[in-house]
Formats: sequence, C-alpha cells, structure tokens
Amino acid sequence: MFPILNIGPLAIQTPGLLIIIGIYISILAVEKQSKRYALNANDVSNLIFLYLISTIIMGRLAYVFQFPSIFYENPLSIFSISPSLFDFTSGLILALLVAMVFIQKKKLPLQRVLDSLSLPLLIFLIFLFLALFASGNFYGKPSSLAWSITLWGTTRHPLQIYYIIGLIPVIAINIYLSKKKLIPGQLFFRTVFYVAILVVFLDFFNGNPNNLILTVNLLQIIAWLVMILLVFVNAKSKKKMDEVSNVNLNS
Amino acid sequence: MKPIFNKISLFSLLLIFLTSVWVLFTIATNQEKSVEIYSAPQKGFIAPDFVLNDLSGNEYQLSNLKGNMIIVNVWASWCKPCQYEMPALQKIYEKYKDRGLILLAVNNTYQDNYADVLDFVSENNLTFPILLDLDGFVSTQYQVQALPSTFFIDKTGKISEIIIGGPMSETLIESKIKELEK
Repeated sequence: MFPILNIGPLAIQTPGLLIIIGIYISILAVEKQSKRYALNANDVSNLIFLYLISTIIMGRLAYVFQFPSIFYENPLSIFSISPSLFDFTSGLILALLVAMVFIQKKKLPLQRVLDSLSLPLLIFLIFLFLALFASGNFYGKPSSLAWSITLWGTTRHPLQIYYIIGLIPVIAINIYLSKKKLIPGQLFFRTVFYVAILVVFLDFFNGNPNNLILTVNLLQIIAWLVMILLVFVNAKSKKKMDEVSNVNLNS
Repeated sequence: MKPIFNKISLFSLLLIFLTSVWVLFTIATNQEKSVEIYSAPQKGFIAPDFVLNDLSGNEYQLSNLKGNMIIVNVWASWCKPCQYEMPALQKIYEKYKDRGLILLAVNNTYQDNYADVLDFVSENNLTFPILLDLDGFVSTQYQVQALPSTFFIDKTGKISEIIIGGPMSETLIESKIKELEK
C-alpha cells in the first residue's frame, strides 16, 4: 500500500497518479483502436474527453443537490477543486447520458464505438485496480494464505491483485476476438460478459462489509444479472442475424 | 419463427448455472461468518483508539467519546494548509458543538514547537480541544503521511471519511458532518 509518494516537499497521491496514467494510456489505445474500426479518431477522443468532463461536472452537481443548503451559503464552493466534494457514482452514470447525446448528434455507429472502447477500458481497469491497491481500498477478506497481504489490522486476500490477474486472460480473449469477424457490438458485449464472470467469482473475496445487504454481495448480484442480460442480448442478435440471412436466401 | 431461447448456447447456460451455484455458496458462507470489524485508519473500520492530554492537561480517550460525531484533525503549527483550515474548523465547531460534534485537533507535537502551538491557538482563538501527540502515537496509528489529515468518525466509532491534505473549506467540513448525521 503506497497512498502517498513523497518527492522532496511534494506529497503526490499515488492512486490519483495511477488513474491519470491509466487514462492517458487508455486514450492512446482508443486512438489506435478507432483506426482499426474505421472510426474518426478525433470523434472517439472527443467522446472520451466529454465523458470525463461530464463525469466531473455531473459528479459535483449530484453532490451539490445532496447538500443544497450548504452550497447555498457558500456558492463559490461549487467550483472547489476538492475531490471530496464529488459523488463519482452519480457522475459516472449521468455522464453516460451526455455521451449518448454526443453519439446521436455526431451519428457515430454505437456498436463499433463500443467495440473500439473495449480494450482501452480493460487497460484502464488494470490501472484502476493498481490505484486501489496503492490506496488500500477494495480490500479482501481476512485470510491466512501464504500470499495474503497485511492490510487494515489483519492479513487479507490481495483482492486488487486477483482482479489484475483475472483481467489478463480477459484482455487476451479480447485481442483474440478482435481478430475474428464478429457482429458489431459483439466484442464489447462479450468483454463485459467475461468481466462480469470475473466479478461474480472474485467478489466472493471482497472484505468490505458495506457491500453486503444481509448476506448478499450487491456487486456480485449486479454482475450476475448483467451476465444473464448479455446472454439474452447475444441470443437476440443471433436471431436477428439468422432472420436477415433467411430473407437473403429466400430472395 | 424460432423462440429466442433456442439461440442461447449451452456454454452460456453452463456459465450461468456455475455462477448461480457460486453466488448461492457465497451467500451461505457470508451467513456462517459474522462480519469482522477491525480497528484501522480506513473508511468503514473502527477508528484506532488513543489517549492524549490537551493543553490544560485534561485526558481524552477516543473510545470514551463513542456516541458522538467526532472529527480528528492531525496538524502542526508550521503547516500552511493546517493554518488556513483552522478558522473553518473553528467556525464549524461553534455551529455543531451543541448537536453532538466533538473536534479533536491532534497536534504533532513531536514534530512541532510547544510555544508555537500555544501562540497559534491563542492567535486564532481556537476553543476546541488541542491534543498533544508527544511521541507520534496517533500519527503512527492513523498512518498519517501528509499534514493535515482529517478523520470523520460516526456515532458508532467507525471512520466515515478521510481527507488527506488541505486546506478544507467550510463547505467540505459541513457536508461531511451532514453525512455523519444521516
């Protein structure tokens, strides 16, 4: 766990630094991938920047709406640079709406855009889990295994490392599938499907009791539902393909 | 027209079955093991206990204050962000002290000058307890790596928020107190 990197008088927050590096490398990957999927690299890069900026703005607005009276007394705080005045979960979800509007307005092919983003997203996840490892967040259950790490009062499963190791075969499958001729959108949905499997299996080791509703792990259930949903999405697109090919054969 | 179910591969069904079994196993395991709560300087954990004296020699033990909303602010008189945020902390303390807020300003005395601490407290008219960490016990227990570091502790004694660095604005402090009040 390395939350702070002390360089001379500077105290750099390592998790933040890793997130920035992750975003940078992912954007480089986006530019490379967009050419592969015959997309305008500028449009896709703009989409990413718009999503990031919208996340920040929406995250702040969501926080302001939770405590309106406090911000009413100090309205300039709306522009504070403090990362603690954000609701990132709401920001990430609401920014998706902004991204969808941008995609519609620019008439970008959604499925191909999603395919081009699948590998960069996996790369970003690796950096996200490295950042979580540095901050000590997203910690595992107590364990006495040989590879357990000492964290927060006891030895624990290195959950963040499990996720990083688990993501490596997902990246390999993504690269393998990207070389095959798939229906647009399939690469993205299959990648999400494999990540969901990873979450279902690995979140068993999650040590955060706040993730539990009674004895049910919320993240695990969400991932399991996403898996089922994607199986139906996949079946539906296969059915549609069959119908199109049948029509072509008949004509 | 074939139903959609015919298009679901056997492999997908197998994966759904296996993950369902795993989820059920997880639920059963979570039922067996009661949730263990450790003491650690991390969100969701019990705040590490300490006993320190204030400037008047009064003893404060963190665990004895359970049931109140507590802010533990680790600071030093030479630290600029600490200096800037102290007036905001004082203002918020005045506003919420009657609603169950306890503010413990833990001075890193082992890295500070006692006379400077006294001067700073009187210059800024600070009325909340200034605790003296003479041997760095709190800094070690709370793994303080940058000043100021602030820990918001809820009524059950669990850490609900950690702010590393500063200066904190009144808005930031007050919004975190509102979260503690929920």
